[in-house]
Amino acid sequence: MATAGHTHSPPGTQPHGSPGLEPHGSPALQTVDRDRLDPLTGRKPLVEEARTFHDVTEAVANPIEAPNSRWWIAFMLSLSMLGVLGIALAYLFYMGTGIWGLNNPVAWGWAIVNFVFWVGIGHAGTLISAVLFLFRQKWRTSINRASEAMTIFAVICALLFPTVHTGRPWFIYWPLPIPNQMDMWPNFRSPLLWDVFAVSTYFTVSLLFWYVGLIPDLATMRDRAKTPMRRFAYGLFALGWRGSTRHWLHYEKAYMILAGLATPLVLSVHTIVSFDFAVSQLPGWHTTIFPPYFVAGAIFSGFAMVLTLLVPLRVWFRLEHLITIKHLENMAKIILLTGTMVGYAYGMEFFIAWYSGNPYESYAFANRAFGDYWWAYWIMVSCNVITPQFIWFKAIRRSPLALFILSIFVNIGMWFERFVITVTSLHHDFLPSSWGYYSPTVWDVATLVGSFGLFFTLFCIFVRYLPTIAIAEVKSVMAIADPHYHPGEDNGPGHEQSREH
Amino acid sequence: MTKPTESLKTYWRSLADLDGTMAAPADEFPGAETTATLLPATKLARRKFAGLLGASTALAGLTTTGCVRKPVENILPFAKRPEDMIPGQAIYYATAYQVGHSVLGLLVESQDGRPTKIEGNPRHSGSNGATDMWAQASVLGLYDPDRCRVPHHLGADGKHAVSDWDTVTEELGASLKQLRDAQGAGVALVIPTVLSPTYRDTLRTFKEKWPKARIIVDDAAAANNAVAGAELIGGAGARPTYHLAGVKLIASFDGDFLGTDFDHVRLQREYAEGRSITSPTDAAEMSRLYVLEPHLTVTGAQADNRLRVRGGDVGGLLAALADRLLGEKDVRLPPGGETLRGSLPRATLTPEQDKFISALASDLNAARKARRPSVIVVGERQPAWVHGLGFLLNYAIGNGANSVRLRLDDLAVATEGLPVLAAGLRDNSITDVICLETNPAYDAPGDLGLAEALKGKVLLHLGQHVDETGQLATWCLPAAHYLESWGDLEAADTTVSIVQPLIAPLHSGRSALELLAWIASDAQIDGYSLVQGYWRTVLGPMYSDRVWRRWLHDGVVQGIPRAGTTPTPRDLGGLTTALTAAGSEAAGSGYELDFHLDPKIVDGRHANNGWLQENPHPLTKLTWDNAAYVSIETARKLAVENCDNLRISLGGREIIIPVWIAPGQADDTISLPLGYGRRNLGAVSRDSGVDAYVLQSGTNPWIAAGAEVARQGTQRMVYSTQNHGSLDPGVDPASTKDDSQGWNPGRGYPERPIVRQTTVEGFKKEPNFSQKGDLIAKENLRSLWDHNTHPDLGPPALIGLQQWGMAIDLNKCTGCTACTVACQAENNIPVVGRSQVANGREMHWIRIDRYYTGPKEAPEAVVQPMLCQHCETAPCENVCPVNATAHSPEGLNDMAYNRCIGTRYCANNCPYKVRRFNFFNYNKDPVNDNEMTRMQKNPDVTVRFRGVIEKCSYCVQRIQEAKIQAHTAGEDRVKDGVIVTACQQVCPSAAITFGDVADPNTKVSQVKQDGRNYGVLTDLNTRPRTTYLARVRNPNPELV
Repeated sequence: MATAGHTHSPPGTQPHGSPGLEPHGSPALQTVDRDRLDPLTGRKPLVEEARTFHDVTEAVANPIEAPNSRWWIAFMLSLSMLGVLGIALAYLFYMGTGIWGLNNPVAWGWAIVNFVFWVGIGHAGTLISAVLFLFRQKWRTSINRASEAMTIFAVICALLFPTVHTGRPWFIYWPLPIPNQMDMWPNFRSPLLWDVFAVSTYFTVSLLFWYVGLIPDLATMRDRAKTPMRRFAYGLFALGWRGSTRHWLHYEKAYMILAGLATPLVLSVHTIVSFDFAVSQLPGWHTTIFPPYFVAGAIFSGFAMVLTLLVPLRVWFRLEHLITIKHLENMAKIILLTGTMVGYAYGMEFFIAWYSGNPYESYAFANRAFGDYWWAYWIMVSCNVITPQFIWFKAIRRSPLALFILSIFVNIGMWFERFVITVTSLHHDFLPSSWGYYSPTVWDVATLVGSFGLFFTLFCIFVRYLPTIAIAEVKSVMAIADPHYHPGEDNGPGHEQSREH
Repeated sequence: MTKPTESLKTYWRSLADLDGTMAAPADEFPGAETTATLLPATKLARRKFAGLLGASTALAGLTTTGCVRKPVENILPFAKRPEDMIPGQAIYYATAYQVGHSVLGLLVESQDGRPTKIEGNPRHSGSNGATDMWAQASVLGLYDPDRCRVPHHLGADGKHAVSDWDTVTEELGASLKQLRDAQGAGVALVIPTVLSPTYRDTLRTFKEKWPKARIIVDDAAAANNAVAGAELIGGAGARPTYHLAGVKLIASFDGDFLGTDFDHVRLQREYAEGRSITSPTDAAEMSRLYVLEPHLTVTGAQADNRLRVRGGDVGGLLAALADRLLGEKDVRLPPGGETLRGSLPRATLTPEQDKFISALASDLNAARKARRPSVIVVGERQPAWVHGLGFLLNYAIGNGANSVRLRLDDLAVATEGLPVLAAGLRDNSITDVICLETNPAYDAPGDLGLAEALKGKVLLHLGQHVDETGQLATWCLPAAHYLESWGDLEAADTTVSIVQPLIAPLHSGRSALELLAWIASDAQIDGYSLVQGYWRTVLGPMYSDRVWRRWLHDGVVQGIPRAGTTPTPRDLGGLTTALTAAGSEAAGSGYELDFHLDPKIVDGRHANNGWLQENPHPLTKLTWDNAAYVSIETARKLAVENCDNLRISLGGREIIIPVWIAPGQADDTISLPLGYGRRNLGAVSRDSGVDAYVLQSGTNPWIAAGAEVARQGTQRMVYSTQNHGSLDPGVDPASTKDDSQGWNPGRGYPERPIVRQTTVEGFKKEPNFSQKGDLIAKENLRSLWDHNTHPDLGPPALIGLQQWGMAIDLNKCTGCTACTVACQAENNIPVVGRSQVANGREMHWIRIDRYYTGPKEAPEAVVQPMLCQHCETAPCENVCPVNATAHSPEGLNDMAYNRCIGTRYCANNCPYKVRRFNFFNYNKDPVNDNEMTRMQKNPDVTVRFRGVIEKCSYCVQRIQEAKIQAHTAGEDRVKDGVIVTACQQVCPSAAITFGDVADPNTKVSQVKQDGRNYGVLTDLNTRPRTTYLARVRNPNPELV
């Protein structure tokens, strides 16, 4: 996406085959050297192969306009998992939360684990779209759309769980500050109430941010639409975008403001989710390290999920030249960073547990590593601390397959992290008389599987109907979008110094 | 339905045609489980009822098709209000309750004609205002939907067919007449222990009219051995009682006098008074309890010095003690006792036993010399000679007439035991058996083979259920519950109470007394006339209606002339013979089976009672099942873990029962609680435990040596509500694995200071030892907020005039769990069933935490009632997003059920884990919500819905009621002692004190001034309103 300082014609609405540029599908494309550097920056190009704006439009829009059979397989699979969710929830509403494995010391089980897991997943999208935007990280352009979509769907999945885990979900609106005949406010001291505000705000801003970013691309889709139905639908949501300079001016301001709004939310949401635990007095929960630790973990798991989604997507939709190895590598580096932070937090928790001299606290952590749930703890540690260390190796972090496998491990590890925090802290707390053990039931599993069904169904619908890559933004980071770029000339590295941003 | 059929008409008329004295309940629809049987108190007219039934059926149809969530209910006003009845105001009636030889005087709460809650009668010496869990749960037994409702007759096809009382009167009456005409030849009347003067009088009539009939007593809960022991030394009719008031030294030989032995409610109160201390000076005067037993009981858990011994060795140890005591110069036996010392059985003592007995003997001698009252208590499980020796020793060391008293029960009717019945059935000298509220087909010792022998021989069975004997009976008749019938009971100390009904029989049941009167002389006399008639005769001219009403009101009969004979040990020949016989018996070897009355369901009589089934066993915390309790060593030897099935066989009989490792169990003994494994009794008892009666022998039912025990190979899951028994993380005393060695997570820190206890010596050294347990000293606890309990200060403080608080004295609490059941009865707490308990979802608002401490094989057990602590800064409150739990100005942590959305965050944040969640709609489960048990519900307490949290409310309904009464009386405060919580009321130890903590003069404030007062987890700054008085043990320093 073009930054506000630019004055050149916004690329998003370029009709295909715009004058002055090479026609698309030129045979020269096929012979491009992958190791070619960007002529202006002297770095790896963010867009490989595509020479023209139109190539980008085609590459992104084609899969949407001509769906392939693989999509149907993925969609049907997701849909059947969604059906599992439907059954699981219907039975849950009929019977009550007793169908899960919850019990007396462990009053929160998989539902809360899944909630925190999905909220965490959501973080990468906002980080990529807002924080990297503010930091002018241009490589974000080809991955931000899908990541933001992932964020929104993950938050939808996340919102599901606090709703259905309550004993009486039909009163789930009671924590909202709705004026009522009882003159009764919700309890503003409760972290659960903060959650309600934090997550709903996060969801609203993310949705708006995503939608605003979509507008130019929706207009592109509208313009390319071949059926009246599509034209109407895309046209409706494109809000009459024509790509005028005034449109771009307002659009970019709005985008900037939303990015500014979304950035603190990246930190606040998981901070507040961590308060659900940190504000309580339970050993293993009552820890001041939780906010940063949760945020790092969230970004960690979010990036892993982005990788999980994009590695197959870029192959299936033939977007390897837009979502390049460099993108994957960058994400892998963030995973390495945040994974290491998480590992540090694990270590620090133990140190503080010992250093505090609090017998309940030290027991809680000893119990985590060596108690009944030792296996969960060590799955967590191996997946979250050991797995990312492979990324130090260049061959691994540049191998999509390796990254895909690593990302799956991180996803598993981060789910277990939430499991370890929630369940092991609860099952053995202060009074040994009330200690218990929690094991999930088939309905716990079905709800988790079903939530993946919901997530993937939404994601399938997204990749089927909306541009998975921000076309307009990608175009803005191509060399040809730069007014100083002259095809065929030597725009060598020395050129960089003369560019002002 | 509007027009009665001819047969029903006949039924009606014939009832009226009866001589009119039998006020038979008008069961209009015999056999049908209709609502008609449920509304006896209101006595709906037929047409009115039919109309209502039609209307409500129509409405029910509407509601099932529509979306109306709440059921439509018709409230029936009293067209003519009974005198003195104020709707919504409970009325209490005095009555009495019997288990075995124990009698409890009761006050029963009646809500709009329905008995709902049992309390002890403070005027009655057997209860002193307290009760036990059996009495508490008996009200649920009244509403047991599986009760036998109508008479049944065994048809030619071998199946029971529904009958009615007319047919019974006619056909059974004819059979009985024949037998009576034959003077009762070949008849055995099987009855439980009878302590009712009227019943005994009727028995005498029976004996007159049926002179050849045998009267057999079948009562597993009775103190038969103690009585036999008393008769050994005191002659026929001698009855013993123990008294612990003022006693400083108690030596219990396998006695569970705080648990299941007779008169345990009274003894618990007397024992607890002896443990009541306020300072180290008092503590020195505290009683000391020695216990020798094979299985850790409630009494054993209280012991200051406890010795694990085989049940069969207890007698030998008592003999060893006798030998030592009688060796003292000034200890003299009654005349005739000179040779007795020589005939004492000689047991070989292990060094540990020897040391224990020596220490006990010197302690007893010291007490005797210092004239400090002591007592030797012998448990019911021990054979008669051990009891006899125990009584004699008590007399010898000067406890006779003080802590042990014998009295002559001159009204007792001579009876025989079950072996006589078995022999009679075998040689066909008994052909017709009449069982009145007895169940020999189930609870007779297995080697008598009565379950088989009784087939085809039971002419008549009267019982609450169609139980194992009822299933064999030609006539199976419904018995009236004690809350439905008239009677009287004589307690151990001759206090007599009139048993008055709270409600007309819900079904067509009749009391055993009424039935016996009819059997004896064919006279259909109602219970009231029988009881009142008896006392009218006894009192003669002294009788007046005023006296009678006074008795009914007080629940205690006064002013009856009685011969006050006190037998003393005289002829010791019988005992000497018994001792010699015992000495010649070979000591038992191999695995020893120890049978016990179950602390929960007694001998099986409460097997279909959900409250008791679900109530955790006081020590092992098992629910819904029994198990074979073994020691860690025995479990290792048998290579079994908890829940592994054992095959136990003895004399060709065998059972397969899961094992449960019980710390404190003697090695090579297996303790088996009786009362489980009922066959087709009812929904609650289905699949509950294993029948251990099968292995019992008729000669010595309680202890059997030489059993063959082996691992069976399969498992049966049994569930305990407390899996971790130690306050030291990483150490589990109930595990065969040796975890005392090596590194354990969390070790290296002091044991958790949840339960605090010391010895008398330790208390002297450190009078404030209980505060030493605080992780953070009180003065270092800082809070962000100001808290005050002072009434003058404003919000956000606790501004109520009165501030409620509770103190629980751990020195008095025995962990009997009566409070758990009382709370369940008072607060409409649902029964959740085995599978839910298995997943830790029991709903009890008050639980008794039990921890083991000390050596793994023979640990001490400590108990601690845990309920909502009503923290002033409750962690549960600030985390609730919807304000469903909030603080009252009077310091209660209130729960608004209908505001709760069930996030369960409060449960997570409660450090005491006392909050309970309705994971399912437990109160809609048929066990809790059927036409019968619904009537038990306390109308003052909400019945909770699925998806809400609940917990102890300090019985807020009782607080409110007292406040309303105070307000009506024009007072601004409730007087101290007016509010009694359900747990406090039931507590036989009086361990719980409740009241206003803002007023320094109340009892609870004074108790909290005690140096032993401490709060659990106060380092979290929760400021709990419930505090505990730390426990002080008084072990013999020689044995430490």
